Amino acid sequence: MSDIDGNLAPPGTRIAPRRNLKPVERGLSVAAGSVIGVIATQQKGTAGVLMGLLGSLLVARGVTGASPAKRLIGQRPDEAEIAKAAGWSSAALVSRAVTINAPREMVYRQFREIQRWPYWAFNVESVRIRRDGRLHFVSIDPTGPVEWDARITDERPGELLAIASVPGSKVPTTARYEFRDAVGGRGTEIHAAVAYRPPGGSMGRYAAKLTQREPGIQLRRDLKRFKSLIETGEIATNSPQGTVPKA
Amino acid sequence: MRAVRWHGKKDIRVDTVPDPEIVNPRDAIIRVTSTAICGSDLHLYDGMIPSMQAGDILGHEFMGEVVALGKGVSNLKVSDRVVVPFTIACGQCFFCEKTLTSLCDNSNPADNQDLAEALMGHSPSGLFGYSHMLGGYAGGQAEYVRVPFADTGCFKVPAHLSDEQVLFLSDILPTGWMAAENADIEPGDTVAIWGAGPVGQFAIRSAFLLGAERVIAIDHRPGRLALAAEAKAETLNFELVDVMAALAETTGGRGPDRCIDAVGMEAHGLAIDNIIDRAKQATGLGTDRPHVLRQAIVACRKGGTISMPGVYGGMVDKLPMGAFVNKGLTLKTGQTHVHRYMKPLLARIEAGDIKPDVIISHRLKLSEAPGAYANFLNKQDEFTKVVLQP
Repeated sequence: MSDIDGNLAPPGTRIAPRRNLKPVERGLSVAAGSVIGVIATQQKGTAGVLMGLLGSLLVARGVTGASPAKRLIGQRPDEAEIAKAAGWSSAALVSRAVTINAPREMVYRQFREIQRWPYWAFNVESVRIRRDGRLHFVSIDPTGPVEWDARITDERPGELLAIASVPGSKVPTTARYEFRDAVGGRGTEIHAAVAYRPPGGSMGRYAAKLTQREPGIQLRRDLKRFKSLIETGEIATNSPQGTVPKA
Repeated sequence: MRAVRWHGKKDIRVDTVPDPEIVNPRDAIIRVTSTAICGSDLHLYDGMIPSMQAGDILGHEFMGEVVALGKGVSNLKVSDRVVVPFTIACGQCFFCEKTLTSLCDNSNPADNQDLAEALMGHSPSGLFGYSHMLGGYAGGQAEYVRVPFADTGCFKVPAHLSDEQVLFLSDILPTGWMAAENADIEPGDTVAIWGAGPVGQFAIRSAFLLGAERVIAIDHRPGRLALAAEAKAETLNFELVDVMAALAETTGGRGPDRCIDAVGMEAHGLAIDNIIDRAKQATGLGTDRPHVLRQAIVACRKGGTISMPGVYGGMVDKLPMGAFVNKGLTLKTGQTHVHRYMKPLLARIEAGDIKPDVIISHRLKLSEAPGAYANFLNKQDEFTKVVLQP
């Protein structure tokens, strides 16, 4: 995944520039808008008005070089970089930071016990460490259980842990967890960034969000449960009334 | 067990449900001996609070006897008599360490924090029986209740005090007290308190204990104003007098030094702004009716403090922010950090400084809860505070 060290902006905050169209796209937009505009002048009634409106919007899009719609739903620049570097068709990057009221060494040590992740990462069913050091994950996908192998790609005890799926995984994923002292002695910050190749591209990503299986949602909840476990020794639940924790 | 459940707007039923069980090591199960209906329960009854689900067990003011304990609780034993704060707090996060227990990071389950974060940026603590955004926990208007983080959340009370004397330590007494504390009362101050319901009543008494010279209670229910007068508050009935003019004149034109909004999002009164807010609420264009907050900002003396224990749920508009800025006011609010007030207020009760049971108007059975909710809403003059016995 892309190196976030040299970038002051944390992952998840970068958005495409306002002027996000390439010269070719701008030219096409103006041309198409002009044609529709000309046709609109020969139409009567509502159809003419609507076509005129569409034509002028396309011309404006081309002239300004800005497409708010593309900016909203298109791939972010950092995701495009990750996809390019990893050779993926597209990439999704989710990130989240959490502060835990405990010393950094202790937080790291607990986090490093990857076999225990299923306890707080509810989408992970089990983690086994293979003889060659690789990690064997069984995780729950929207489609059912998925088995995949990963390896630790970088580690600085107390500071950094990076994990990546091995080539050939169904959902290629890389994850990076940084551990920092919070200013003012307020415990430890975990800065997590997870990049993956979304099955089904960006549409698949939206589908996953609807089923609450999207990695961004999972990361947010997982880190909160990990925090609760470290700070209180247990994970708060309102079960049996209300939302029963999902396996 | 029998439990009071929310089935929808103005639809409260007493149902038979499974008994709660110990889930986590720090849990306790309490057999409820007394529980009360809170004014804030009426916001749920009115369907004003988002993320309620049909079947939710209500109730966040309760006390009882410990009947089961998780293996992680060492400071309690079975048969201990305890009062439980309505805010659930872990005791170990940054906020709990600062005694800001209603802001606990961990008691609202991770999944439930999503909606709270989307609406507010951050999630406050979980509460008993008060919507899924705020925890989705089963409440205490039931025969039994599961108390998470029981080692921080169960407060032992001495045997010589009756349930009625200590029950309100769970919410409204500390809420009234924190309202007065948040008002930054200085000697010689005049404090105006909107809303003479249970929280207003305790705010009146707390304000005097914290050094207020005069307390003015504003309401339209004669019975509640009479109760305020018993505590030596001066009273204003907003249906009979012009509150703004009365407050200005009675304070020699200065305005009350401290104003307390013990009303919240469902203000009554035939004022033009409130009628517009009502119309917006009815049509889904607005959520809250902040008539009292607007009035408090304009009435308050320059450089004064507004304390807001009243519950707001969503957005307010037409707030006189210009007045707020130019008069240099301070606004303090928040759900009550109940845990930090339990011990000192218990001492106040034992010393006879505060007699919490004076506000109780009705003692009913748990099975009578549906009628009690309706009467608490519709006959506010008569129904000041309802205590239910399972």
